[in-house]
Amino acid sequence: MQDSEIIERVLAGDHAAYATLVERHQPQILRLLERLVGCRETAQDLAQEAFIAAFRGLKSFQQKSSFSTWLYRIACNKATSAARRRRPVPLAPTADPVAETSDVSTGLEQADRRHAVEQALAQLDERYRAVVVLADMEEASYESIAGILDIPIGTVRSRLHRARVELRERLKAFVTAEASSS
Amino acid sequence: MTLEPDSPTISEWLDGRLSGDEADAVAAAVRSNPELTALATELRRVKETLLEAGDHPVEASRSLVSAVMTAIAGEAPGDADPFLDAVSTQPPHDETDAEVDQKVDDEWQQLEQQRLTQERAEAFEDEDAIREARRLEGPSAGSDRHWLKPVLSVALAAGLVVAVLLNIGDQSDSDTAAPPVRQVGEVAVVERPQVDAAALAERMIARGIELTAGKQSMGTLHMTVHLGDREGRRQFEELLARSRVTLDREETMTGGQVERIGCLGRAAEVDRLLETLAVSTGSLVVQAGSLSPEAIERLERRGPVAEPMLAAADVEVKTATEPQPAATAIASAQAGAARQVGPTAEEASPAADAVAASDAGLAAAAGLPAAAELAADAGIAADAGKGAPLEAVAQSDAPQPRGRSLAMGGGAGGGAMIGAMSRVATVEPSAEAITAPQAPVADADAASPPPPPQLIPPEGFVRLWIDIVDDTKAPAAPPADQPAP
Repeated sequence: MQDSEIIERVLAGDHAAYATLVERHQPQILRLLERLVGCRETAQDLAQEAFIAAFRGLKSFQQKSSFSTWLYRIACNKATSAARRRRPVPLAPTADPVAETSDVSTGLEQADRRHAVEQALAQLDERYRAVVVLADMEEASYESIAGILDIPIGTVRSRLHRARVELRERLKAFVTAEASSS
Repeated sequence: MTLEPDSPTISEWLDGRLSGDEADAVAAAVRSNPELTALATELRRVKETLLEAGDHPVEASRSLVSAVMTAIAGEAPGDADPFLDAVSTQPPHDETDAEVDQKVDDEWQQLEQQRLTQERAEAFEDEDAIREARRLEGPSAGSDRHWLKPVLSVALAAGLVVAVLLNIGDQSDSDTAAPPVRQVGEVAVVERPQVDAAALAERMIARGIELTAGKQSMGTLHMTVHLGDREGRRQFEELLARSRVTLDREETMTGGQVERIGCLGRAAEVDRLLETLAVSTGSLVVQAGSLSPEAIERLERRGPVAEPMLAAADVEVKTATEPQPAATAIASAQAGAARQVGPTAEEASPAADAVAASDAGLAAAAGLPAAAELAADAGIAADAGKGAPLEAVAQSDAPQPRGRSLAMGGGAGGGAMIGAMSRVATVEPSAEAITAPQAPVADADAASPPPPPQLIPPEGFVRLWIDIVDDTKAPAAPPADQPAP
């Protein structure tokens, strides 16, 4: 069942159908929020807020864009508001399923890299962070990013480049080592 | 094509968003510039690193679904703006900077206006009060005191003339009585024909007595205060700050055992400081006999508080202004010391045994076993004690012209301080001084060889040494082997 069909059912009074939408989109929303706010628990709370806000504003959703894009936008808005309320807390390193593979050193290296990326993202300005997360981690197009964040494409271009240059400095140990080894 | 490192085109090229021609141009520009090549390579790595880091599954949360469904239970989908959240719907407490600045500015202007109004009101009030006072005083009130100006001016001028005359008198006395002062290392002694100054200085140094020479400033005294601990220093500095004796120099000796403070002041001021030390500190008593007759008079006027000093100062009062033969001086001094330490010592008051008696008593009392003897050797009065004020005094064998030859401190009020002061004064040569026998010193040495000096006082005690050189008289001529001061 398409998102649009479920939305129609919800708007028609089948409120329970909204659970399907939540279940379908929550992994992406949670992952996005996790990367944006740097805290798993906060991401959970914000995702909950985003889904509730989407339900309460569902009538205003005119389906000019996909529901996922609209939901991303709501989530990004929540993340921005949360970032203004408090500074991001870097994610604590957690058990990584990759690290449980036979190649322990590779797993540890990947875990280190992920932690470094989380730290670097946490230190990034929230405007740049949203763009680079959407572009390089969610693989969203410039146009999608512009739609989600409600900013011009030119701003997406400049923010994305600026974000990458800053991350290059913060992740120098990884990117230069890799660059030299490659 | 020219590209700068901060050009977003590089990222667009990396993301494959450029058309064929544009992409080729950027590729050529990047290849031709090593900096851009490195940048592009690293940005590509950044992009890949981010993608790898984000490439991990996020488990679906059943609790999230149930939480959302619980929250919206009973609600119908609405048309509320989903982009409004708690923060954005709150009252705008985050005003713009301009608004805040304006508010602060307004508030400041208001306060400033209030202040000005208040000040104006007070000023007018004062003016009214002054006018009223003048009106009550009447027209001649201001001119009644005009006679004060000339009277005060005449009095001031007369005072200056008297002061100058007195000073000239002092100087002329000084000039006629100027003996040579010789400095040997840190030790300055009065040079006399009968005494080998260098040898005496050596003995004094060996026994831990230091005297410091002053060489200039006619009419001034240089005083070096040796302080055993911080409490003593604090007390002395407090007194110094209130006196007209100025701090000349400070020295902290290695190990922190002794700190020396050099002071400089006119003789009368130094005497006054010593008197203050004697009376006001409660932990240091200066022997009255060491003070000038004027200081003694002042002490006498103080009544009971100065009695302990004056009671023990009979010998000094008597001898202070008159040069004493060494034997008499030492004997009387040791007798004085003996009186303070008990009958056993008093029995040993004859001159030959005086030093031993003094040593025994003072050593027991103050841990300064050779203090009295050292003092006697050096022409110094020494005193030490604890418990009640103690004014055991060894009188100098050198004649002391103005009665401020020597000063000693003792403990008081629980023995907070053990002190020893010494003063070496330039002396007016006299027959007694020149012919004064040195035998008692020699006898004392023979009777009781001095033990090594123990200058470190017992714990809990403050030690104070004051060495004073009287520069009232300038040296007549420096010795040939010494540079002119």
